Amino acid sequence: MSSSAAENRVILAILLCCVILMIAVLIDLPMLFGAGTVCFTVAVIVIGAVKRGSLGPLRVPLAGLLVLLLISITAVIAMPADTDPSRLILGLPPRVALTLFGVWLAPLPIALLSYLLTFDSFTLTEGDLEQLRNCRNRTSAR
Amino acid sequence: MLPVKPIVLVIAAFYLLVIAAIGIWSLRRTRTASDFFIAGRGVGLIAMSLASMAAGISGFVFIGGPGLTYHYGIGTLWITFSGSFTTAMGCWVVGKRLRLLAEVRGVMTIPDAVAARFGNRAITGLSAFAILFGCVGYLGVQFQALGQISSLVFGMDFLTALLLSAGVVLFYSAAGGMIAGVYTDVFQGTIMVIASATTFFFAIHEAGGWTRISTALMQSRPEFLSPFGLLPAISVLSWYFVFSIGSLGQPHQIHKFYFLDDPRKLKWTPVTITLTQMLSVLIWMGIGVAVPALIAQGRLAPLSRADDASLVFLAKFTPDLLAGIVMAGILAAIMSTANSFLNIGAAALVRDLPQAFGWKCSNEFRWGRIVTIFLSVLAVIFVVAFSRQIAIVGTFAWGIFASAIVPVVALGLNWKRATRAGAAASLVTALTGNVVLESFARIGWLHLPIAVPAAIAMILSILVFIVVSFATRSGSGEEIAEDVRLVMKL
Repeated sequence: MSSSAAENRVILAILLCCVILMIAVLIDLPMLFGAGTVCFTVAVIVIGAVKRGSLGPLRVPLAGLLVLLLISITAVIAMPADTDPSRLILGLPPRVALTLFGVWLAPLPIALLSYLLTFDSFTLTEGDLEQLRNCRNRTSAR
Repeated sequence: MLPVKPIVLVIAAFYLLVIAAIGIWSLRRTRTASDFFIAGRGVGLIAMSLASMAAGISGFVFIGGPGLTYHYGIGTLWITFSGSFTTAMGCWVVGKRLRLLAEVRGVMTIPDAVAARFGNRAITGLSAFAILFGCVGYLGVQFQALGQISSLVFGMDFLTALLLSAGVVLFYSAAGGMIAGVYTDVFQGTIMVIASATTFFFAIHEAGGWTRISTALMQSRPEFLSPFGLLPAISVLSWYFVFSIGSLGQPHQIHKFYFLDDPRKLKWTPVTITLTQMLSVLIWMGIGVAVPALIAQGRLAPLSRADDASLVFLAKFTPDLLAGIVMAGILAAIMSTANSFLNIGAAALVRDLPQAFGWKCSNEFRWGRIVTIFLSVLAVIFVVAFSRQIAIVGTFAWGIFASAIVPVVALGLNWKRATRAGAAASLVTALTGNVVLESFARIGWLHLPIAVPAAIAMILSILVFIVVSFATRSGSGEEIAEDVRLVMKL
């Protein structure tokens, strides 16, 4: 797929997320808003990370991030209220534990490691920098 | 509230002296507009990361945040939760593009990048205006908080304390520009990390650990410990949305990508910024949760003002040495943010707005210094004369940055089909949408839950950007320049 076509497809996905978010916020549907926010966020990451129409090695970790956040946020919304003080996970009520570990902490290694491990080979390669230097030399020579 | 204690006074005075000394040191090293606005593009990874973190974390994290949690429960912590991935997102979406653009075009400000992408003065001017508008609000709030905290620490009246502390910020901001900004940020950021992380562990320990905290709160205030606290779920999720996507449009943070001396250092940027940022916000969670638990355990009387949570905890439960470090951390958080806003506000007035009108400032460096002084004086006058209005404008600032800058920069630099018409329509929507929605909600004409107006304004501006771009064809002369196209492709 050409890079422009890929960009347009991701932008259409973002547009769809915007519509879903607007509906969800106006008629107060937290589950839909939560899911829409996650899809929106990952789509924005994709538009930044995609290169020549492909996500390359980032496809799996970004899919993982999407699934993790979708499951965590929808589960936090759907789970019943915690009422039993004797039922704690690592000292926290289960829904709070899921919020802290699923929504806050678990995305950390996925985002950081996938960025770090693919940076040199995909996000910004020596070849990219070489192209940039050539382009700068061409433009300054004009 | 917090009695003036000698050790706190000594630590805070030492802090101010170090900041002033860095200002003097950087005075001789600041010689050009590039030095003044982007630290000469010669900053290493750690310094740039601490500068970005310190600029992004204001005094709100140390005072307002714990107060918000005390009042509304732990749902308020969702504001910070996306911080675990937003820096990586920022590097993918805007960091790489901005830094590479600086490589080929020598851009120094966010409106410079907008100009390179869209090649239109009106769009550049609108983005500069949005930044200036947000800066004025943020700067006013920071100066107001600076006066209040300095007055507490030094036991002075508000005006004297404001003049003293704002004078220090003005001195190093005008003298050393962003060179002083970055190196004071390194010192300030280090204090913030130490103060926040230490206080977090101390607060959780003081309240008896997580199990005792949870048990006490579930028995006395069960809603406090529900994931959304006492707020509607839609409000909490709106915060999560606005603070995750909105992070891509905060000019005082994303312009720090220009500072890096080598684009390859972007590799480690998310690691260093994310970890320092997460450590710096721990104080919010620690005090925000510990104080209600201590009240539930009968060890502390309920507070008359939620915003007193941090100061009461520091006064009653922490050793003086830690209280002193935290107070220095609060001053550091406020000053580093104020310095960043002075700098980008000056850049908007000296560089971006004149360029939008087709003018070129003959000596951006000298005028940068003059305008920095002018903005500081103006902010102090506003704080003294219009304290209430400044607080209101301050609440718009994050939303304005988010809805105005995210579409044109975060999407604009990644989507070649985006058009000038889309960018202009989105900027107008962002500016009017935020002001109208927030004002109507405050007046009571619109009944929207907290945080929802900012989310709607941001969704609307992105929606308008995409729809108008698809609906309009690229006009003549709207072709993206070869070098900018390459930056977008890489």
